[in-house]
Amino acid sequence: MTSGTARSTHRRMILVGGVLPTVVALAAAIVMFSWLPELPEVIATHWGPSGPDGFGSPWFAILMPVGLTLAYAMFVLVLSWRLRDGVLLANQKLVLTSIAFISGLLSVGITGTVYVQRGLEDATLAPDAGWWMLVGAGAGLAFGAIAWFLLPAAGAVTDDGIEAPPLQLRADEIAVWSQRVRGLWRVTAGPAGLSVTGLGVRKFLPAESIESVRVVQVSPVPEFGGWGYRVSLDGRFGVVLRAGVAIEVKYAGGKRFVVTVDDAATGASVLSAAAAARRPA
Amino acid sequence: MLLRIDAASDVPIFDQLAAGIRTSAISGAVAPGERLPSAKELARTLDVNVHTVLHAYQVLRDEGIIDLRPGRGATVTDRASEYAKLNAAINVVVTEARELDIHPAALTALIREAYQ
Repeated sequence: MTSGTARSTHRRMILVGGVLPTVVALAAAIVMFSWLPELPEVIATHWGPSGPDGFGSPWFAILMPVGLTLAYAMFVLVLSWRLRDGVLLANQKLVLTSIAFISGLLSVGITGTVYVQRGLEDATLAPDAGWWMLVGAGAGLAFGAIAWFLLPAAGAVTDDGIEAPPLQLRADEIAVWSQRVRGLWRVTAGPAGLSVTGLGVRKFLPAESIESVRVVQVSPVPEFGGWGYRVSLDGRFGVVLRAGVAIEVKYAGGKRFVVTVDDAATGASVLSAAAAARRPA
Repeated sequence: MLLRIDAASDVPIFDQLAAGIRTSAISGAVAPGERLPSAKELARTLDVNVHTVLHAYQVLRDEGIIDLRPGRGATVTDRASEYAKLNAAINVVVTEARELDIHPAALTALIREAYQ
């Protein structure tokens, strides 16, 4: 919880997500550079069904793994930078290990496709190197697994939000609340339950099945690995469209559904009242 | 938008629904261009007949507050935002009434009389 933990976690994120993948890509660049005298002036960079069909300077192959790894690492580090209570969440770790995967894939894969072209006069004669990308994918997975263990152990979100107080309703009064999210989605809560619709998703949780309703704060990348209809490694799932306030519903024996929506407190209190009214006494 | 409906009231549910959505449109709780929940979705969560919701939507369409198009659902027009001035005036009236300690029922009666 201290800022010291957060600082050391951030240091580890930079090391495992930024420095190590870049070092691996740099090593690949140095190896490919050392082959430069043996390579044709133009090398094959892409293979089609009938052999090489894309060509470029060897420098392109030498610099690509470093360039892409660096760019991707910065992109992912920025998106997953925010820590909750100074700990890394499982999804956040998974997203960070993808940097190591990309680095391993490109470093080994591209180096392999260059390796097979040593001593060639003409790149059109380059042998099929597709399987080197498979080897690269394997190396990426292995590097990703190593990165997972080098990162701090996955923590859990300790702040589990606020239980929504049921909306005060008079006898015979019912309430319905509806709110759009990101233009295309809509969340509606009423006596019968919770409905979330948009982009082909139609999710309905009947009020009878709802056990508790909370208002929580959600960070899309750290907790759900991104945006959209998502599953978190902590067992929650739902529609995560932006960072911030969300309704979290526990239903049907402990399943947890999350939807990010403005004015979540009102929606949660409508739903909480509906669940209380339908709950068998 | 939050709509409250009194199931025991003499006012039909479609009327209460229409009134609630109208108020939301005037207050800006639903914005011009915003698509309302489909009648089916609203009816399902409210546990009322889909025709009740459609009836409410038809009332609002006749008032020009929403556009109803098959397959496109109900969209809020900018008609309600023209009520912004009225809305501001209502705020002034209510503030004044509060200061004078006038009961909402008495204020409503005054407004009704002014209409005669």
